[in-house]
Amino acid sequence: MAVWLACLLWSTIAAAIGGYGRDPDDIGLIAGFPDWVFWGIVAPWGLCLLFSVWFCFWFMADDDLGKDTAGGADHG
Amino acid sequence: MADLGGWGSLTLWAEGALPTRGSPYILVAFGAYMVGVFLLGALAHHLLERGSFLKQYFLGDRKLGPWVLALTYVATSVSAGSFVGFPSLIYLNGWVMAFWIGGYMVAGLVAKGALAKRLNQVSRLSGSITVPDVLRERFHSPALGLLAGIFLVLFLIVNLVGQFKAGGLIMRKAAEGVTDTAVYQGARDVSVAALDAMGAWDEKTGEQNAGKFYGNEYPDYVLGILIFALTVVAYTTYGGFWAVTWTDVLQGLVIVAGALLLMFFALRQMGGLAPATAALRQQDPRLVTGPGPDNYLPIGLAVSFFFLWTIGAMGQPVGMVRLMACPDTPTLKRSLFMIGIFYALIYLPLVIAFVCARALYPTQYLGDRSDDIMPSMALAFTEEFPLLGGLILAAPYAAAMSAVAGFLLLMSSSLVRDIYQRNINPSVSPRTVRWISYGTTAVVGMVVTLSAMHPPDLLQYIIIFTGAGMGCTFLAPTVMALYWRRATRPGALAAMIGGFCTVTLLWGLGMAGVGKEGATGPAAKKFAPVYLFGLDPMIHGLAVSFGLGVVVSRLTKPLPAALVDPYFLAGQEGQPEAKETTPQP
Repeated sequence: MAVWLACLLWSTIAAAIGGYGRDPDDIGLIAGFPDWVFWGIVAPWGLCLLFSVWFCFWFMADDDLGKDTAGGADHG
Repeated sequence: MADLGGWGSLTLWAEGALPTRGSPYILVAFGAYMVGVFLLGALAHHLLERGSFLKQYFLGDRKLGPWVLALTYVATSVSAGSFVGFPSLIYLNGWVMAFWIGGYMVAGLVAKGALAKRLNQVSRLSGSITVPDVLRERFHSPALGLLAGIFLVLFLIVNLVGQFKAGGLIMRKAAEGVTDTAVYQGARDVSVAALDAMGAWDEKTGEQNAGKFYGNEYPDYVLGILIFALTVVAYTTYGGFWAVTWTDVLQGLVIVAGALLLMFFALRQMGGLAPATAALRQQDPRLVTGPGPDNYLPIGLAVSFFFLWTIGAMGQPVGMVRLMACPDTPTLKRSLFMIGIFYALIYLPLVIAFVCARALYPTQYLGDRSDDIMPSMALAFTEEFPLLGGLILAAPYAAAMSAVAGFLLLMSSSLVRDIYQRNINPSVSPRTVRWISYGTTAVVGMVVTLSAMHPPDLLQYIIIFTGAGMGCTFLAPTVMALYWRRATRPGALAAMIGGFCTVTLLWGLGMAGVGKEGATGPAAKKFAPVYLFGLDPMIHGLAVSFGLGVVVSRLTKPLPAALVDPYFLAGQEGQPEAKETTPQP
């Protein structure tokens, strides 16, 4: 949830400062994206994907999910 | 050439010609896709002959692999709204829609990472195969299970009508290349005669509504919706969960390929993304800044949508069921990673493609026609490659089909397991369960098909309402069930009812016209809810639901330790690992 909060704050602050109430003539382009879209959405999206590599393949533990007892009620 | 300040110069796009009509080859690609769907459905049916019917039919026997789990999760969550409503909003509002959809950067991690492992464990411990099942078993409350089943059915019926409408519209577009053939004309004549006999529509009505939904193209829509309904209801009924998940894999791949191809062809036609952005700024500077034209996305609403796509997604029962179907943790981890990749490969390409579409066709799809933008662009960008056009057009169709199939199965599981078997006839025979499951899936499909003949106008509002509603109704009770041993039966009930009532009330008041005076942007629309303090009703619904859940649990007597311990101490020495039997009401 800390990552979620970080993404929410980053996107909101970057977009609010860079994209809201700004003179359209001052907005630059990065790889064809308006700069505030690039820094507020595209860049954190890429970082989230990198984070998910670490989270899924290094951080998350292999736990036993337990025995499955479903299915008894319909008598197979 | 026009000078665009620091962004260079480009040839301004004039009123570009509208795309031509479809080619028969589009239907060939569509047909190949449909054959694949049916083959997978038939294969899935063979699996149902083995093992427990209910667990196979509704949960796939908890044997999904990582690719299957990731693609079925993505295909079910990416619905017609993503491929029809969302492109329309990008076309109308420009780059601010990247901010609107931005929550998907972390949606997979949040929705799956936070709940998946624990939900899977508890569903195994309790022997549950549906989300209402989990709540009922964890809190030992048949009333909670029944109420959850009823709320689920209500939300899903509303959502399905919107999905069927999208399916009908896309099928109509796909068939444009063959409308002159005798077969199509024969089918259309039957459709017109049936509508006339029912008193639902006639040629005169068509002429009076020329250019509108009930105009002369209405019988084509009805024909499209019937084809859509027949195919999706047939393979869902026949093959159950395996049919839905396997076809989800095919549909997920079609969705990703469709989004990427659309972006590729759009950029090819536009000559790059920078000229597209420059053209948007030239057309209307508000298309490259927030909050977009007509104050479309104020910061408060942008934050609300970030919540909706992430926290709201956690509370969607259709996603939760897929998490319950995971066999082990390594599968969960790999699928979690893949979901993030798939979301990135779908949503960012869609934003890029429809920014290009706005640059290429500046005015042609403004107003009531904006919902046509996706199917129209699929044909326009691929005039030289109609087979690829068919594949791209199959993407939104696949999105609608996969969402509908998942929802149909969930609804039928609620009716059969949570309402009928659990509350009316606990000793029902396996053979009867099988036929009731087939029957309810088919009947629900038919009811929704009839409702979709006269659908509500705004698809995207329906989908946002049901998504927010299900999130607020199911998330707090589920989180309490999984992580808080002090949570009580009345607390879970209060959380569920509080969330449901808050969302429904704010949407109901909005539709009744409350709070529309002086409102701008989406808040001013006829079908929009009341955005209290500038926030979507989902934020208020979640706050009320979690708040009531905690307060009422604290004020009421906790469940006996013997009933709670198995869910929190399982695996520890001296504690039971799992329930031996499923209790009956």
